[in-house]
Amino acid sequence: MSAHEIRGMRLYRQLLRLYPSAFRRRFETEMTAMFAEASATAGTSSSARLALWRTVLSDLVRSAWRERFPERIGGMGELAYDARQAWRSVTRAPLLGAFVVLLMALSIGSTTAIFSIVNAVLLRPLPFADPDRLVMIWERRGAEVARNPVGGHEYPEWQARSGSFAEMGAVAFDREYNLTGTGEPLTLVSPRVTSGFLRVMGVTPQLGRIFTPDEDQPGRGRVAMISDALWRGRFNADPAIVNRTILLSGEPFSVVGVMPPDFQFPPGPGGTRPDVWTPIAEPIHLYRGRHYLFVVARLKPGLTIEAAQSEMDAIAAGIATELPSVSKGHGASVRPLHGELVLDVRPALLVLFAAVVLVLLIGCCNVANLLLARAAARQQEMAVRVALGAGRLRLARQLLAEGGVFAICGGTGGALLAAWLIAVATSIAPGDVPRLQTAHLDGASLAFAATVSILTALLFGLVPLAQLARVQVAERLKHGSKGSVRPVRQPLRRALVIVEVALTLIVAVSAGLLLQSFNRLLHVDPGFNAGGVTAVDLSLPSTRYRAAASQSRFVEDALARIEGLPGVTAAAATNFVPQGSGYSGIPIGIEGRPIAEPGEEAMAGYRVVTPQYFEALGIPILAGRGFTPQDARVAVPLIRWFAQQPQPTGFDVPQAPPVAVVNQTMARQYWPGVDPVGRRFTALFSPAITVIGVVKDSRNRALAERPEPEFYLSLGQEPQSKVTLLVRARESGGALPAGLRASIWAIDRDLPVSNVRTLEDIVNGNLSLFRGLTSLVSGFAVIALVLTTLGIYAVISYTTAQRTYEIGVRLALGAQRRDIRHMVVVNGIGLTLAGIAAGIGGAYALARYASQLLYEVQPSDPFTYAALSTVVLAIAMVATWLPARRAQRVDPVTVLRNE
Amino acid sequence: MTAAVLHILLSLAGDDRHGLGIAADVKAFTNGRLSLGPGTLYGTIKRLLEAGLIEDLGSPSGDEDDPRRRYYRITARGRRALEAETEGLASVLGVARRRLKTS
Repeated sequence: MSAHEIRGMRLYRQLLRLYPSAFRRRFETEMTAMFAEASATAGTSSSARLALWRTVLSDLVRSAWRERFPERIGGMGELAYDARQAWRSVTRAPLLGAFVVLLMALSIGSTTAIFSIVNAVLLRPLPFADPDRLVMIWERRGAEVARNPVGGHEYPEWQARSGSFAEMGAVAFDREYNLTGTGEPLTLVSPRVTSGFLRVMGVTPQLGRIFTPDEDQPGRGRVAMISDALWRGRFNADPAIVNRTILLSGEPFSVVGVMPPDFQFPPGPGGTRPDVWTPIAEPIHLYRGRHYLFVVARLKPGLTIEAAQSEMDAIAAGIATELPSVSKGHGASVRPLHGELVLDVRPALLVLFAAVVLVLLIGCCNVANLLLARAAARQQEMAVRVALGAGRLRLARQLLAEGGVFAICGGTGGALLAAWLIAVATSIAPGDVPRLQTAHLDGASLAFAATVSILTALLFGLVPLAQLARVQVAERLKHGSKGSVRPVRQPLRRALVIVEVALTLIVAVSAGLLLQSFNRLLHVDPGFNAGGVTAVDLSLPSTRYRAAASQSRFVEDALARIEGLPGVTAAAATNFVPQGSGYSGIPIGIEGRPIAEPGEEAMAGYRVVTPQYFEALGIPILAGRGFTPQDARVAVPLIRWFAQQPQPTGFDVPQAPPVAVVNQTMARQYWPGVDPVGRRFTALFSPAITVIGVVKDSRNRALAERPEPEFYLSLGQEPQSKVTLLVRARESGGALPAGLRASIWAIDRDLPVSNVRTLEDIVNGNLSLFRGLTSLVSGFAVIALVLTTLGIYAVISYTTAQRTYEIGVRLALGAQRRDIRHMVVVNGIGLTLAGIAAGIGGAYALARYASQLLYEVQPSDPFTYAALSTVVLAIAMVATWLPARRAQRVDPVTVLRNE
Repeated sequence: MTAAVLHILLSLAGDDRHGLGIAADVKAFTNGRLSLGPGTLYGTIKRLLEAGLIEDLGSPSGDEDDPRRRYYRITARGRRALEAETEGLASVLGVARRRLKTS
């Protein structure tokens, strides 16, 4: 079955809900089978599919109506009569009717699409057993760091001492295994987990078993669970996979289980899906001060998060007094898992939802306005009906039926549009929005669309009804259809315009603030030049590259070959690609300063690079020098993670001294007013490291994050098994990716060369969520402005037309034409100003809520408010201009004679 | 008798069929002029079952057919109704032929 057919089938199943449930139960399977056949025959061409849906939908609507209201057939019940009357009345003014339906379909469709996404990402419970009891526990450091990964000394103690949790487990994202021996080498997203993690999540494997507590022990961890996708993609869904041995980075692991298809937790860097889970199986408690664990837990039934939090507070305080050297001042914070997963996208989605709902409301105001105009024009008709004896209730039913016709047409169109919009959104959205791919037009979305349709139908039906209540039969019949002599007050229509303007200002200001933030972000100097740089990930398996020297040799060899490729001007390697997801921070001690109290040590981020790194990324060296090949050491690595860790072999032979290059912020913060070159510092249990140079600050974590103190180590002193090669070339596309692969495979044919992309793609990729949000909200703002222009125009020209007689009289009595124009414009501007005044408060409230989305723009930014108020005022002027000119040209003689 | 009723009965008068089979048969013997959508088809089948003009044979067990398919058979009553209807139609047809020829 093609994707079209699967989507179509899903939609058809949903649509079957239109039938009464007894009918559905009896015939559902047969009808879907029949639909499947027709769908397969139609194939994939869009014209054939369109024809298919046209016939299917018309068949569906007609027969569903028949099944729902069988007794009405033949005997023409009141409901059918009302529907038929309403349909006639709507089609009598087809242009207006089509416009109203289109407007409704657009608003309902986009609102439903965004709702479906919000529902899938934010509202629907996580697909785990008892998701409400799942929490994440972070290390907390005072007020400023609320979410730190958990240290090796903390997690085992938390687990042993706490009583609030039925289970606790940990995840580490510090390995990236290569799968070899089954086709092309493949780099896997490979979280390491404790057996407790699998129990917390309530995993039931589709094959085999989960890890046992015994497999958490050091040396017992050569087992793996694989994802459904990997099992199908690489092992042909072979049921005999259990107990088979696979090679992960050259080491044998025995597969013990296959995960169910919907288990894709935890998401890897950039929201990728995990391929293989292996046990952590190491003495975690020895890794003191190494913050590398993400802790999940399941609350015991009946316990609240607050209760668990207060217990964890006490435990963390205990650990801080027992192990002050690594824990002083560190707390713990217990948070609901679902909230943590959507932390980054929640405000963006809610702002989007707010914007689309506002546009929906603006659309509704416009439609209501149109229908009011229509109702006004029909007052004569209504008056005649009342005079002939139609009960007001009867007329009300009639009007509601008309609203119903709009609701059904607009709602159906909206649902179809929403299905399409969701498909588009899920295919173009960035991968790191959790659970976005599960968004589809489901029962909840359809219920939402139906509710919105019914509410708007009621609104549209009731608005003319309010008008109808005031029909003064005798007066109407007397005056005929011409405009009234007295100026007509239309309080409802004027109020609608004010509301519309206010809502538009809210959307426009939100868009303005986002656009400004985005613009500032685009103009931030990242500190490095991403243009023309290509990045390639390499992961060296420890079986063949066990010795640190062999890892360094491989990287040197690869870089030398790549530098020889045509067009390449510089090639370097680093452990963390700039603005990628990798980051490492470490406590440091500055020589010459008193030893800091535990918990108050200076912190700095660090990155490991090769000599050409600064040249390849265009990072200027401001003082001292960069690295050279001569900086390589025999005794590696420099950083030891705990005091008992043995010194590396060869640490006592004469060799190059440990060196580092620091960024400006680190120089300024830790050596204020002095030249840092030649100064020394330590990182955890490293030997003293000498600063040899200062480089310009880079925004290595994200464009929006200010640079932090950071130092660079040489790969020759701190070897890495996982590196990213960064290659600057005159042309980044063309033959370069192939050349890079060939260069690496010339040294080692079994190495996966994955993820070849440009550094610009990485930088832009990080902005894509923000870019998407900004362009969508801006788009909504434009739609809102257009709708409001139409709304103001409609109301002003209508009221002006109603005042034609009055204007004629004024002109006849000697009023200047300029005054007439002025009067009309003032009328429009007055409404607009009232709307702007009402909208400013709402705009500020929304901006305040979403202030974390803004970058260097205040939610109250006066420029934005002033500029967009001016824009709204300007479009109001444009909208009143035409009616004003028409009023100005009124010929008093004609008008007075006609009356 | 609506067009859908007539054609479904006509189709079942030939052989027992499942829903999809009826739709395909009707499409074939009307040269594609009448295409029954799933809603119309099963809505009509439901009413025919209720009126006792056709009966539900359930899904055939054991053979290679899709188990989701259920077969329907025309009842004796259905056959009589169809005969009455077609006789009526035949006389209409006769009148139509004579009058169209003379005009």
